[in-house]
Amino acid sequence: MAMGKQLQTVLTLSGQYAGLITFGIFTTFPFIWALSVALSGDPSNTWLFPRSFIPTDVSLMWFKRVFDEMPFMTYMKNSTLMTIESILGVLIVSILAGYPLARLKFPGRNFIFVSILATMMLPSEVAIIPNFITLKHMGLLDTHLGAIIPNFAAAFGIFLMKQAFEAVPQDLVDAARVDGATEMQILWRVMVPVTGPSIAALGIFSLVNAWNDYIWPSIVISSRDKLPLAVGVFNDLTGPFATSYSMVMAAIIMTVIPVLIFFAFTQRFFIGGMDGAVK
Amino acid sequence: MKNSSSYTGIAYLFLAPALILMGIFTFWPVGYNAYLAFNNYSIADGVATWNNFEHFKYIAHEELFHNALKNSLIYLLIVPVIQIAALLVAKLVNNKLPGMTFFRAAFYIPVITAVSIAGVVWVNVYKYDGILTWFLQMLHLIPQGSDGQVDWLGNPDFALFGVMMFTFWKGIGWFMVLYLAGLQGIPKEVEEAAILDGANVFQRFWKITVPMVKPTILLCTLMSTIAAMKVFQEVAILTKGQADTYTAMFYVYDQAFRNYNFGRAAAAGLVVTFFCMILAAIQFRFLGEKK
Amino acid sequence: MASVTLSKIKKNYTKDVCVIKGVDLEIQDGEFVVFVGPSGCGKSTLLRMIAGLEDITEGELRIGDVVANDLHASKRGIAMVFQSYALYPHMSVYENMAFALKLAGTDKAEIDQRVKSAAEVLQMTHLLDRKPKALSGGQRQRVAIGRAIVRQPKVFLFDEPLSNLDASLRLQMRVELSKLHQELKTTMIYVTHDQVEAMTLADRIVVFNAGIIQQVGSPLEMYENPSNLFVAGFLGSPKMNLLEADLVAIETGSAHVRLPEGIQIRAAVNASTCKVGDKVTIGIRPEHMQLSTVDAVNAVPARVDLVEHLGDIVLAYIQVKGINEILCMKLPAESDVIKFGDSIHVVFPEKNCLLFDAMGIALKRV
Repeated sequence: MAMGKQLQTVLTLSGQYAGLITFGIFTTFPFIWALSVALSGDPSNTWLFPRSFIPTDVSLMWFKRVFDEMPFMTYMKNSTLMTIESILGVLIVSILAGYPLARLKFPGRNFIFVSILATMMLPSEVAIIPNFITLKHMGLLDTHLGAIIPNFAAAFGIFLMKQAFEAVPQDLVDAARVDGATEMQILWRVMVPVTGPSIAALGIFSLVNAWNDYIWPSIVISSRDKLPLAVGVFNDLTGPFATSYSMVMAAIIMTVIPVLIFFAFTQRFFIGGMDGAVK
Repeated sequence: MKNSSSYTGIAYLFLAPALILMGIFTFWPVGYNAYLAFNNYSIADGVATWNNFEHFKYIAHEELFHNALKNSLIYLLIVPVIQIAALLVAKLVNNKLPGMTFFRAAFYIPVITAVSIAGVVWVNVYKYDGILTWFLQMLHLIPQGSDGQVDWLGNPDFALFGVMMFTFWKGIGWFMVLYLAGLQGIPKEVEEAAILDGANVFQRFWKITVPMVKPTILLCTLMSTIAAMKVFQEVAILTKGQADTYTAMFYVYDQAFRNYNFGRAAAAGLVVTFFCMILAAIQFRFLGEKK
Repeated sequence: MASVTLSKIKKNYTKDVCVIKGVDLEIQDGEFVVFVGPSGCGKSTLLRMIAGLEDITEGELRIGDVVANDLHASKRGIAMVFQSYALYPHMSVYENMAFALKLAGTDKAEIDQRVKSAAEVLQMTHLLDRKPKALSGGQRQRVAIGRAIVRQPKVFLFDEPLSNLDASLRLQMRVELSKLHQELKTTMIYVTHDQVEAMTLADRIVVFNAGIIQQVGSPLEMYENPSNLFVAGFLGSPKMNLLEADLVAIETGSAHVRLPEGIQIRAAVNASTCKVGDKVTIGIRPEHMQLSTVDAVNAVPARVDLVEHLGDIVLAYIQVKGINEILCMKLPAESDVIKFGDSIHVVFPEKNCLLFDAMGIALKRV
């Protein structure tokens, strides 16, 4: 009898882990391959499977060549700048907008909130043309600002901050009001510190989005030296370097690793802070 | 204490940046798009002339657009697949067994990779001598050697599904995270009560778990549907629209930035938006809860 | 209906963390047994082990005559009422109660009959179509109980079911639970940290502390003859007054102890297991301490520190010189002569005093 139950538990667990591992292979195999090819000093096994999953003649030469033949650092610098500006923009706009929607009563509140939510349902790509024309009129074409500004007012960010602010106990706000704080002060000195985790989550989320943004920056920015990583590397890879797969893979690995490392360290906050959004 | 009328002023002040930005970059485009759809816009001199539905009539008859729309609708097949898979995976990782954090991170890797970058790798997966060919040959599902080598993304019968698989791979982690958050909201005791009541794993999943994450399912299905309708980046990167992977949004992009016919692109965009709204309405009707 | 027998039950979470350290207990068929104890003492864990929601590391569990250690929870013939009720929020009351029966393939007519009769017993027939979120706390409580009743289990398990209710509702539900037991006559195992519930509901009480049974007995037995310090201090509200003392003389049928400052008290206990000079603890319940005059035998002088009027009784908190703890006295409501600051005298009647040795074990009363 005891064997039966234990055996059942063991079977269930093995089944679970088998499923998890299989799915894990599915999600990571492209990178394992890319990593292996990038580390292979000898590219002759690139297309021979499964041999290709293990590096042949381990070497860092491809990585070195990427740095030499592609303005990788320039792209990296652009990406970093644009990402930081994006994060700041999204956070400021979302925090400011989330507060009145969460805690203040005013006419038109529901209408505005529903409209903002509705934008999540629009296919955003239809906005590309009008926004392109708008930027043209504003003279923001081929600038970093132009590439990131449409993302500042993101419904998701506003929604997340609204949820976070709603969860703050009213007592804290009342205490601050009695102490004579203005709304601006309440927001930045009471609300923001208390909702730290959600803000961190939104920040990380925006970071990943901004770092990987492709379509819009590729449309707006035309000068090569202003391109971020996602666009620059892709263009270069599918252009003149397309003949050397090893170099392509090396460049890819270098683009992915920074985000991965960052994400690995911060994923706790990220996944936890999205909690309020799905209810 | 202030009365409510003075809160109004402050509320709108705070909302101002968001509303202005949204107004310019989200709401205005919708309106302008509609405007463009009904006019002939000339890039050179920035002048628009009313054209009496000419664009709509054109795309209504154009086979390319029909095909594109058809492909976008086929793409919707991915929605139930990815949703059920994401929910199952979320349930699989929703426990305290060792290694769960590692798995969650592994499943999320495709999500945090740039579409463009991931696309480059997947182009190689789909090459005639790439990973997919090797995998299927290993399972003896296709002939060995060069006979079995297929240019997957060049084959009109397969290419669209190849792109769909890429979208699946890229998106599943994202929905898994949302479902995880939803699952955390199910109290452990309800699950235990079901165990005591004699429900096995399947019964618990379908009769308890699924009904209790309905709000999350609605949200995710909605987002997934909209994403499927407007699929574009993946197509642009993997196939550039070749081999019958031309989707509706790709048509829009093409018309705008290759033909420079903004009006026609806008008209097509409007049609897509229209479909999205209908699908959204249907989903709210069937999956939503009466408040 | 069935008996429940626990033999040498142990539970470890890991090699070092042992939460249940060896429990032997026999619960008779039809008994209402209450597991009571402070938070973290293991009572809920033990209940969940009986239910099948936790594994039993060592020992044997029998439900009826069947060894139940490896039986699946749904096949043990038990039904459980959870602290948070654990109702299925998306199902109506009827569906909540019918769920288990549907899963077992019971035929529709039978399900209908069982659900409706349970609803009648619990006076819930008018709520059958509602969803849990449209019910009050007490109503949800009843649905949880109803869900257990329809399964016609051999044993009912209750995990702190009244903790989430307000005071007056708790009282009402306690009475209803008692009446339910009288009607159904099924074995019931009930876990609570509230000793009032334990005293009023139980045929027998099991007091737990740190994973070990401290004492088992009927409520009155446990109240009057607690077997150790822990049980003595746990049952009874306000708590028994416990004072440290030295044993100065042993006689047949009585023991003399000396409190700090020389006060001598006699207790009617058999102290033959101790010797003179041992440190002991003397205990007396608030309702047994009596007001007296200065010239009574063994009168102890005291000062009134605080008086609480509860309407039906008066609680007086008094300070005795040399004793650190404040003693509590329960007096009838007419004792309005006592007020803050008064100097009074109290006596500790010999027959009401309990004595506990240095290890905390109670000495036998005579």
